[in-house]
Amino acid sequence: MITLAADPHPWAGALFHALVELLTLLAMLLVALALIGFAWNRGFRPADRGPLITWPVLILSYTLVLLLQHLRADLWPAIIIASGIVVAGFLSRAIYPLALWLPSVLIAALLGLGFNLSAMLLTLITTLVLLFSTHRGR
Amino acid sequence: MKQHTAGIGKGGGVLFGGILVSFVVFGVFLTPGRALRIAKAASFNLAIDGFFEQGAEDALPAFALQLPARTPRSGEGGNGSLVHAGIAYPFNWKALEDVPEGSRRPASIGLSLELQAPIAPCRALRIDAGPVAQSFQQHLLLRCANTVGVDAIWSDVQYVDLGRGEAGIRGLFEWPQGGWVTDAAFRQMAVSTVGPMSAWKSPETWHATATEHDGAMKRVRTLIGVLADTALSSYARHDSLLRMVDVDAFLRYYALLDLFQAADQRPAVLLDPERDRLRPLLMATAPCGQVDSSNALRAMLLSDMSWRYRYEGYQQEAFRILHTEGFYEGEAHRLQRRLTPALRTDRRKVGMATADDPAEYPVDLGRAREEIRSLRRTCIARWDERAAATTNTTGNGTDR
Repeated sequence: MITLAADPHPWAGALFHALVELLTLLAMLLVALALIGFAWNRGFRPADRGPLITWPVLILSYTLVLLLQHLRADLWPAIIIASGIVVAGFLSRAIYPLALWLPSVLIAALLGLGFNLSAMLLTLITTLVLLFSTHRGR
Repeated sequence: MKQHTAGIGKGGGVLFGGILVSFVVFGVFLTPGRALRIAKAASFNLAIDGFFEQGAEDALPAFALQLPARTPRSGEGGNGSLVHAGIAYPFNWKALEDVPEGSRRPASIGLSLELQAPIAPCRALRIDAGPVAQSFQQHLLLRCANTVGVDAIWSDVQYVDLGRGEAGIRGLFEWPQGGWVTDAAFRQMAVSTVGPMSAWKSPETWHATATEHDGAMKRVRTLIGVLADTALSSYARHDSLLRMVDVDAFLRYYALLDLFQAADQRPAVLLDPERDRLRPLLMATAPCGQVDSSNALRAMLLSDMSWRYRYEGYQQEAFRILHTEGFYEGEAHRLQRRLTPALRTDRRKVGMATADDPAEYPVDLGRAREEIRSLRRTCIARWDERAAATTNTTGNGTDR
C-alpha cells in the first residue's frame, strides 16, 4: 500500500501557501499601479514627478483586493466595491496623485474578483490614456 | 505642479526584506524544493488561472448547495437544500470527515435528499471535496468496473456551487441508504453490509446498512470466521466459500482491483436473493501501487488453483476490454476533455502541490491536469509493460 509519510509541519505548508497567495496578489497590484504611476508621471516635468506608487493608494487598493478575495458571497462584493469607489472619490479630492485613485480602485476590484484579464486590459487602457493625455488636462 | 505624497521606497524595501526572510524560514521548515513547488502552485493558481474568465460551468452539470456558513466538523449535520435549474430539493446532510490538518479545502459531506434530484439517479450521495485527480480516478475506476461486469455504485464528476463564494469540481458518489444502491444501468440493488478497509479480518468492523439485512451480516460474520479458521481443511474451506459467496463475482472483482493495483477502501457486499450468495459491490478504492495481498478473502480465493485459473481468465478479459480495446484510455480522455473547461473556472481546485506531499492545497490548472494525466499514464504504462511481458512469454514459448 502506498502511504505518504505524515506531514511533520501541516500548518507550515498551508501558511506558506497563503503567504504566497497574498504576495502574488500584491505583486500583480504593484505591477498595475507602477504602470499607471509611470504613465501619470510622464505628464509632468522631471522635477515635478512623484513616486510611481504611493502608500495611501497601495493600502486602499490592497485592502480592497483582500476583502474581495475572501468575501465573495451574497452582496458583499457589491458593497465592498461601492465603498471603495466612494472612499477613493473622496480621497482623490485631497491626496496626490489625484487622478489615480479611481483607476487603482477599479483595477484592485477586478483583481480581487479574480478577473485578471479584465484587470490587465484596464491597466493597459489607463496607461495608454494617461500617456496620451496632455499635462494641461491634469 | 509638485506631487507631495511619499512613495513606497524605504518602507517597501523593509517589507521586501521581511518577505525574503520569511521565504528563507519557510524554505528551511518545508525544504527548499517543497517550498518552491507550493509557491508555484499558489502563485500560478492566482496569477495564471485568473486569466480564464469565461464562465464554463455549463461544461459540466452544475448545481448549488445551500449549507451552513462555516466548515462543518466530522459527524455534524443539519438541513440544507440543493438548487438545480431553479428548483430547490431539501436534504439532510452530514459531514463525513474532518478537514485534514493544514488543508484549506472544505470537508466531504453526505447528502440524503427527500426527493430525487435530476443530478443523480439516487437520493443519497457523498460529495467528495478531495483532490480533483482522485475523484477523477475513482469515477473512472467505477465506470470501468461497470464495463467489465463488476457491481459498482453510481458516480459522476460535477460542478458544485457550495455557496460562500466557493464553487468547484466535486466527485459525486452514491451512498447506500436504507440498504439500497443504484448501478450505472439504474438497477436497484440491496447492499447488505459495509465494512472498512481490511475488513475481512474482524467481524466487529462491519455494520448492516439496514435492519432487514441482519441475515447478510450473520453470513459475513460466518465468512470471516471461516477465513480465520486455520484448522479447516482446504476442501472444507472451499466448500464453505462456495456455499456463502458468489465466487465468480468476487474473482471478477479482485481481478479488476488487481489490474488497477487498487484496494477496496470500503468493502461492501450485497446478498444476491436468487442465488443466496454474497456478492461484492465496488464503492471506493485506494491506489496501492501493488497488488493488495493483505486482503484475507482474496488470498483465500486465490489459494485454490481452479479459482486462480478463473481469476486469471477474468483479468485477461478485463485487460482486453480496458486496455487492448482502449476503453480506459478513451474514457479517461473523454472525461478529461469534459473536465477541462470547468477546471479552468474552478479557482479553488484542490490537489497535491507535489507528488510526495500529503497536504492538499488549491493548485493551478497545469498542476491539476498533470495529476490527472500522471494517474492515467502510470496505469497505462503498467498495462503496456504487462502486455509486453505477455508477448515475450508467448514469443519464447513459440520459439521453443
